[in-house]
Amino acid sequence: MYYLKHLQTAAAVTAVALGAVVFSAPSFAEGDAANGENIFRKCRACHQIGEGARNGVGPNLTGVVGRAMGSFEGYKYANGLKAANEAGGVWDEEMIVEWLASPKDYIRSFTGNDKARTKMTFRLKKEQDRRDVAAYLATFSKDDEASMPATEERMTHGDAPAGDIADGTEAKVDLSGYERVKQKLVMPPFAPKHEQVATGKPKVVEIDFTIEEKKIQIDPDGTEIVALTFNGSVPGPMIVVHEGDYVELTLKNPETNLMEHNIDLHAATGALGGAGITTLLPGEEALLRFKATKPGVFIYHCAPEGSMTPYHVTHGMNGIIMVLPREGLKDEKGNSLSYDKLYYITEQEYYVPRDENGNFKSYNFAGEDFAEWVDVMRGLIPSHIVFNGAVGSLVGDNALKASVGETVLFVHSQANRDTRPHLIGGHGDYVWEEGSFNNPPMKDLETWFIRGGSAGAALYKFLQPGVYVYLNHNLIEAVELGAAAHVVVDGKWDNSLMEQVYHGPVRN
Amino acid sequence: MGPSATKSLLLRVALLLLLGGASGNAAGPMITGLMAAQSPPSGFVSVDVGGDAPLLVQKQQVTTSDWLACVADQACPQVPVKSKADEPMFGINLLDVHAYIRWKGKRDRISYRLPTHEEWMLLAAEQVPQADEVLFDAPELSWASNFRMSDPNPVVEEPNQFGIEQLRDTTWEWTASCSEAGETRSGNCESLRIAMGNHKALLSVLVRDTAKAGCGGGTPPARVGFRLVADG
Repeated sequence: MYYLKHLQTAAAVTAVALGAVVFSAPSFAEGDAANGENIFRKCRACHQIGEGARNGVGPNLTGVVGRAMGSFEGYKYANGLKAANEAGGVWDEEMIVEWLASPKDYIRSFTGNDKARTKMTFRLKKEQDRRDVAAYLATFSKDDEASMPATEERMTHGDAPAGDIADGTEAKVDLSGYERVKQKLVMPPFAPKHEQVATGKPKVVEIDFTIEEKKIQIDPDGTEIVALTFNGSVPGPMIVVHEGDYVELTLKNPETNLMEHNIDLHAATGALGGAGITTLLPGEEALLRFKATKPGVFIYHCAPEGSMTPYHVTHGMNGIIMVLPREGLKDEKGNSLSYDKLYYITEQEYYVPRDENGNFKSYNFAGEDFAEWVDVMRGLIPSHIVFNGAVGSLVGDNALKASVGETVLFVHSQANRDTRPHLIGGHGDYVWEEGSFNNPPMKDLETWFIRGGSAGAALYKFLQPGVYVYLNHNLIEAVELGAAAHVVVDGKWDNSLMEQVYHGPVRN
Repeated sequence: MGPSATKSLLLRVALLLLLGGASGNAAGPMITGLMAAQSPPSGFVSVDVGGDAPLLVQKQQVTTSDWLACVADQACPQVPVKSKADEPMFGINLLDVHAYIRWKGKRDRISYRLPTHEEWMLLAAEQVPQADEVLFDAPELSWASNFRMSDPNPVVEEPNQFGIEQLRDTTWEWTASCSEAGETRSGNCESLRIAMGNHKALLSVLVRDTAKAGCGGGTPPARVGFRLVADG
């Protein structure tokens, strides 16, 4: 049996090497592990190594030096390394140096079988490179006990964030003493039931978001898009927590979907706002936990790679999370402020492609409009600018409602473009224009500015009944493209504030 | 179940049928009753990638003129042709590719298929771009360990050690594989498949114009064509 002889030779070479005499390759220096790490980048297309390494196209290589050949669990070896394993072969550095010159030749000579096969087709031609790589591999064999091979391979796109949540339980955050509550989400323009002033200690607030790719109508003419949505609505549901709470967000991308999705929450700290560790293919689910450390109103949105980010955002994948101060809202002097109602308005623009006759095109599945949509999007001229998903979504029967004497908090976001909300006939009594509740509110504004990629909040006490138009005061965007809502306010008219003193023919 | 859910279900069922009962990792149209190729057909090389039988691999991607022959036979759909006769055909989705494979398989009496992702990687092992330096080592930062912007795709003109060309080309290649998490299929196999080139891309099987479109996620390749393999 050839391999037995070979094993003895390898052992002898190792013994000599241990005696500090480099006998087998007198013309070459010992392997340089640092340089080996650099060369190993060529190997990374197929092999992982180190903590958390998994089998990929090739097996995990953590601890390979000193390990039985063909022995990484969960990896399907070809017949050559299987035979070597059965024969009791154990890798050492010198064997790896030879192997890397030509895995096929090596396995055939090692097993004495000229039909032995290996999957590995890659070769390193320079001997010094092979020595350096072997030396680098050996650095992972100092404490092999700690590096158990895992068998999972995960999808990556162009080496971008892979959504690589290994196991949510490994985080060492002590959540004992935190009460868990599940937030019952509601459809926009409403906010989930919440306390304005927090009682008790910070909690863990559980949120369930399921991503739905669905056809929606975006204007009264019947124009449709295949929207990308958090929980089936544009915008996604509003999340409300208090400063110091933990948010545990379960994000599901059902197998019925066609696209990859994730979530970036501007209220969260780290990992691209969560996008880096929630990237999900259809059929996958992630659990993200973050601490709400900054009080304010923040947007959240889907943020895959490249053009996919604006594409997903302009297909509806955005919404607001509100993090209230534990003591509630305050004016500039620290006096408490409260609201009777909260309306949640997310402004959103669409770039629907048109056909040769100028009519809006329609599509049947998510992603089908990508190329054309991106072309329109790059022109920066939206086809629609809407509140809460569609032209006219907050008028008529769906108009916002209030009564004289009621205080309403309008929370408004635009994930992409600047906007300027204005309440025709009213004001912003207290306005957190940039969204942060750590800054004192501005007072008595006529129009406030919401920067693209942010949310703001405006508190107003209605003093007169009637119909108010709440709009983006770029009137072209409001009237021609859709960014307008109605607030129907009941109550008693106050002549001391305004009165129609005369209306009739011109008087002489 | 709402109308959109029904629609989505119908779409999935239709895809399943179109993909010929695809459920596995290397799913594709199987042509039963045909003999396996005994020796490499013209334009193919025999490569040992560790399997029980050698893999017969087309040395070059399927060309525009190859494609047009199938169109002329009314077995492949007429799609806009954007490359010269001897250049790789692109602008075709996975269903188009399967139409070609069925047509060519019947003509040659060979069970052609697309390479799996693993096979493609093994064929291209000496040509795949080397990984960037790892930015972070901590496991919690694995999502950012090799974050980078995609580089332009360098073209390798010379044949590789097996005599295979165009593995690194401006035209990428469809593979038969779905995304995988270990042994378990991850994601939607009926609608998303892996295309290989400068990196791994997940593409909707329906999309022909990948110039900017159709990637289930990530930066999609500009052009996607294909090459055939068969089990020797």
